[in-house]
Amino acid sequence: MKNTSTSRRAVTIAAIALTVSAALAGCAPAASGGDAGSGDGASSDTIKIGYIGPLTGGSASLGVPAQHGFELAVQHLNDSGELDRKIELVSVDDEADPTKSAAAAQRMIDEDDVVAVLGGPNSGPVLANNPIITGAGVVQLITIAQSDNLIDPESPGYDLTFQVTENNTYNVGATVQFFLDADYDSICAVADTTEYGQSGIAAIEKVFADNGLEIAQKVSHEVNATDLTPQVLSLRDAGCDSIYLFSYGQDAAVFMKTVNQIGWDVDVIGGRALNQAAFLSIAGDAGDGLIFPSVIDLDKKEATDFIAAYDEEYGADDDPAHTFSALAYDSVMLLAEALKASDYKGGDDLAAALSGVTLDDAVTGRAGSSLSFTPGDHRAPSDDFQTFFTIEDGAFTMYSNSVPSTRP
Amino acid sequence: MSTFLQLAVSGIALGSIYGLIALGFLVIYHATGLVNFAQGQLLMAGAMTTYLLLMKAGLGYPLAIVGVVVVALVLAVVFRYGLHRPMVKRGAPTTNVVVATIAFGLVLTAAAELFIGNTKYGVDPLFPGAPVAIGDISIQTQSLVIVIVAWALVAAIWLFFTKTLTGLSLRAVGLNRNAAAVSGVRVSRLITIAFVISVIVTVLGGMLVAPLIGAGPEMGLSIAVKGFAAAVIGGMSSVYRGMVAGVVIGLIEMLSSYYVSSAYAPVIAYAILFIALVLMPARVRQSGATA
Repeated sequence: MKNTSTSRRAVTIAAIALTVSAALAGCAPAASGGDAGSGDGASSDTIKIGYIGPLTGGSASLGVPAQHGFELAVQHLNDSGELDRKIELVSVDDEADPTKSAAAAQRMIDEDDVVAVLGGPNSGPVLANNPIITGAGVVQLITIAQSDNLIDPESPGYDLTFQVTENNTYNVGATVQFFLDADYDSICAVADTTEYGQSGIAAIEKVFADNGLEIAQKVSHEVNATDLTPQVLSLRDAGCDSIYLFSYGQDAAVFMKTVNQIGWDVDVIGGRALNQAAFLSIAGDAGDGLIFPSVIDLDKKEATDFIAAYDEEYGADDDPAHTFSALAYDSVMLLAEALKASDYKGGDDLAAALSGVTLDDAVTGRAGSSLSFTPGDHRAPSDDFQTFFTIEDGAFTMYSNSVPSTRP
Repeated sequence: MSTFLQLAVSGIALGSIYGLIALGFLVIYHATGLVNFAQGQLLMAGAMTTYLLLMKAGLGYPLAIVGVVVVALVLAVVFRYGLHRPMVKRGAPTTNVVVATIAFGLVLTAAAELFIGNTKYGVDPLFPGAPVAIGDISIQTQSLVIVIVAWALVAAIWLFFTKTLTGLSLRAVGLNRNAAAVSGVRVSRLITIAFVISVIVTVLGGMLVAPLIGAGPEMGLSIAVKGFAAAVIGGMSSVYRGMVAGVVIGLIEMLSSYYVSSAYAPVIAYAILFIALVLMPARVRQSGATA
């Protein structure tokens, strides 16, 4: 009787341990079409590409639209027969956790035989997984993460690392024009404590200094903050007449609701994370009129065609600003061009091919801009790539596609 | 002065939510000796259910409140009869049950991500409209709703524990389960009632806070940690002390963030929990709560 009780208890403990570890691991391959994650390696007519990003957790509102953008691109490539091979996407959820991201990269390298890895939206996890990916001789194409230090010519993995999105310095360099034009007396900044927020603040301070501006006051907050009243009041009481809001969407929404609540009439210009659906959903009227950078030009046919196709496949609410899904889509298209040029070989051959690829018909960027890499510059956006969006009546809408932007 | 009052208003509203979570912790703890680490995810369940019923299904608040309470009852029953009771009947140590509550919370998060979505969603306040202005300070209508409802719930539960036979019996169960059973108290039924009260209070906390910060699968943890700190500071036994402790934590969080530094605010909040845990165990034992 005692043995039965003991064994039952052991089973209970084991079951609980299994449940918890399964839930905590969070790195199970996510279904992403086809035989994703089978670990069988690429067959002669199929080539595997990997994606490591947050499919669950707080950053999933960035990571899931990215995955959908990849899937749509893969679907278009496979349906068109443009390539001699079929592309298969293997997606792994890293929950935006650097440790899990590194573990996911190791397993993707060991088991999935991918020809390249598409990096996710969070800079911290990309910094953690990049040495593992490039250390194994595999190319990484960073799609959405913006930190400047992701592309470092001094790092051992530089030759195999490419950044499709505009980085923070490019982004801030375009945005600074609004602050220069308005001639504010006291510009202040708010950012979260993540790699995104802190690297953003560093870029803001550098670009502002280059333009003869300075940040009068800056405040920080935890990501997923429950209340930002102290931060808002600190900036108001410091006499700020404009704010650079460099936080993720949900926190930016709480910030704007508090600005609205206290009736503070201040100009706010945001970072690119305000393209998140969560900002639109939570901020409500408080987000109206706020300006922030985007990569979508609604006067460009490639962009509007993509938006129509994306919304038909995933719904208009999945990625209402389409910034993250569009960057993901273009990343696969750049990779596909390079794969053709490298005869579907990975490693150094693929890196060399990427260094000569130009995408003139990209979904992202202003009309006339392009995405291209050179051996000396692994950052894709050309000059005049950036657009700006705002929110009107609860919907994202284009504010400007004529603000000059320069490749740093 | 207006800045201080503005911060105080936010601190009281936020702290009232921490207090409700503390209430959820201590009702179950007092009846069973169990610390339920799924409190944060139960709050999330309330917020996400509110989003589903109010924003997706388009129901008004009256129906949404009924729906949220029904969901809370279902969760309480699943928690009690699907997890707690079977484990206790099989003689599982309290530590195993505590770990099971963590697993229960993780399952709730995963279910919310799978069936509702994994971003954060906006939820309309109970009374839409401009903030209420009192002198130089302004208050979101939802903050007023939070404070009024939270304290009304505390008062109702205090009355339940002190003025009703069932509530007094439940206190007896917490003090000495065997003596209560010998006296004819139906212990198992009362523990179920404790679960129902705890889960309803916590889920309603989620419903209250969702219009301020949105509803998302990952929203519960940081609020639950501060609610737990409030419960510990409140001695894990007193209905109103946990609530007061929650408000104190909310006030400290807001005031320190402004007057000290926003960068140190999270450290200060967690330091309070650490100090509370170090200093409070003796007081918790004196409360009479047992496994």
